Amino acid sequence: MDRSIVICGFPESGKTTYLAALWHLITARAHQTALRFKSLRAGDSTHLNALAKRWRDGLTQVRTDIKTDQLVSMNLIDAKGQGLRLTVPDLSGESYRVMFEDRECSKSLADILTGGEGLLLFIHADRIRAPHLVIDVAAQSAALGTTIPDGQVASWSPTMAPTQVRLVDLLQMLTLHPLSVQYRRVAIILSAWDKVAEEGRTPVQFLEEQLPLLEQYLSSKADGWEWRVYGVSAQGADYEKENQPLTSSQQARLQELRELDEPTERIKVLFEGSESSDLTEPIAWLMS
Amino acid sequence: MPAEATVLQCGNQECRVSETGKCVEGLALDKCPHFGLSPSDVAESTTSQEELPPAVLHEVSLEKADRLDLRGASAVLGSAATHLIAIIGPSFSGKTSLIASLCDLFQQGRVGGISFARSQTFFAFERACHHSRAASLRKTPQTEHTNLGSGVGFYHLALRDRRTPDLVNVLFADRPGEDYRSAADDPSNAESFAEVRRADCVTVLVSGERLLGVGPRHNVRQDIIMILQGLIDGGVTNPKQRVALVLTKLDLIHSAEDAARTRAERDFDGIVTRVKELFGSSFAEIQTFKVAAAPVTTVLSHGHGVSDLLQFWVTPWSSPQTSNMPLPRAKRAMSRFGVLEPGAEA
Repeated sequence: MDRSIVICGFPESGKTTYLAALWHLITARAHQTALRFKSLRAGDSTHLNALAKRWRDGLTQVRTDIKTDQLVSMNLIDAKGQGLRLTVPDLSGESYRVMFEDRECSKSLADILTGGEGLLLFIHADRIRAPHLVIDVAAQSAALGTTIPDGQVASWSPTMAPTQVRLVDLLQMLTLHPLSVQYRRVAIILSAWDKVAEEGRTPVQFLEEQLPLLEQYLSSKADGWEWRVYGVSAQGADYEKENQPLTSSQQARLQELRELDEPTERIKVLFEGSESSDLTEPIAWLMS
Repeated sequence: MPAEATVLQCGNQECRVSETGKCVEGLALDKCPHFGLSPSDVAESTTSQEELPPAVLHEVSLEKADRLDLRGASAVLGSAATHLIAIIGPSFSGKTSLIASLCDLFQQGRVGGISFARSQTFFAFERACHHSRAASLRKTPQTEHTNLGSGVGFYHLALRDRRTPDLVNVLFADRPGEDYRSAADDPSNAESFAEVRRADCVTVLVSGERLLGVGPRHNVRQDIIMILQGLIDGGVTNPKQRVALVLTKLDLIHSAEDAARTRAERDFDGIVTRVKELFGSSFAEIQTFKVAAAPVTTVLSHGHGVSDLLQFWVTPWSSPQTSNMPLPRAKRAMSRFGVLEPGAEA
């Protein structure tokens, strides 16, 4: 049976890293997962294999180019033992940025968005842009005895919109004409959870405190979304990036991960108080 | 500037440095990034930069998120229970700040038991918030002034009020203050104020900043009275409407010296008394509020008092104006503001 979900998120929100870790998790078969590997007969696995290799090597994924958007397929078995061919788009976050800022998208993207059965929405937990008020910044500067430098006033542009405004607007757009998607399940993936885990909040608490507009929108059921929120650490640490050397502590943490016998142990998935490494669980829920 | 620039030429085609010896942008020649370059150099570099973004086929237009026009507002009115709030006041009385503060407040959490549900006008809200945000690079908060001639526009929020089971749509009408002032000069100008005709709540703003001014304070009361008189005489109000009289920029009043503060508060009380005396019978209810929507001082928090006003706006009302209320057919097209059939002209 052919099934598909949509992966959505703005640039560098962790979508491709998730796919890389997911493909390793499924093919390694080292842990029990909600969706299991069946075969490689789903088609060309070149892209997924390349992603998973970089992930195992501790290398940051190459940013997905809008011109190289890919549909990847996985031949899986669900919890009932039934086979399924899961198709997932590996889309550039740029596509979603253009949707929000320019209020338009390509026909092929519209087809992908409307063709899924559910939505994985990625948010980088450590890169949430919140609005700061002039009055607060001025008060902080005064308290610190500093002055705000004179500068040219910046005119407004959609690029300045806070993270939660972009996310709510994106979800709204999916429900509105001309997209009018039929699915109403969204799994919120708070990626890079290891960066905020020390704060001791659950993913839901994090959503309420850091993205209250999004939490209100989802809780209001205005557009009928059924939702779950997961804290996901698919890397476990900062990975190496070209031309950006890691600090010694980051290097040490990455070395610890590389020394793990099974790379799957790098993965942490938090949901309602339980922790696992099962990246397939949100997908299984979307399709259940 | 390229070090080897020896001829007076500039990459900016509009620059006449070769003739005048001066940069068209007023820069010192050694500071101008285009000086010494030829126009073709700049064209090449511009072209290469423009080619950097990936080519995307923009084939599907998505919903815009700017202020709604009459047609867009009418579609909202026709789709669900909607409170239409007309925000009225002279220029610089804080209309846009008040509307913008709602967006900022909901981004921090629920507002007095009311939660955000959706909005069709995020870009409009964000634009209105911009000049009070650090991203504007301003040193003190400002608000974008509603441009003269821009006509009426609507901001949209859908809200969930714990007092009612259904979602509530709210449309906030924003129009240049000069338009409303013109109703005081000639009530027939009010005929085009479709948003006032359909409003569930007429919200009249009284600028706290102007009340503090020894000179302007005497005109504040009369401005408010004359605008309301113009709207009533223009036939765009009705006795089912409620009125919120709102003292804005309260932080400035709280920051003022005691004598000025006392005088401003007394003046506002006087305006309230006078408005109730003169127009109490023209409206269902007149309530007063005091807000600091976008304070420029730290004596009050951002959005102070807006929660109470929001509660008033969305309170279920025993005599609400329904969205399909028959409206008088006016000569001017904009007065025919009601539920439009798809394809009909606003």
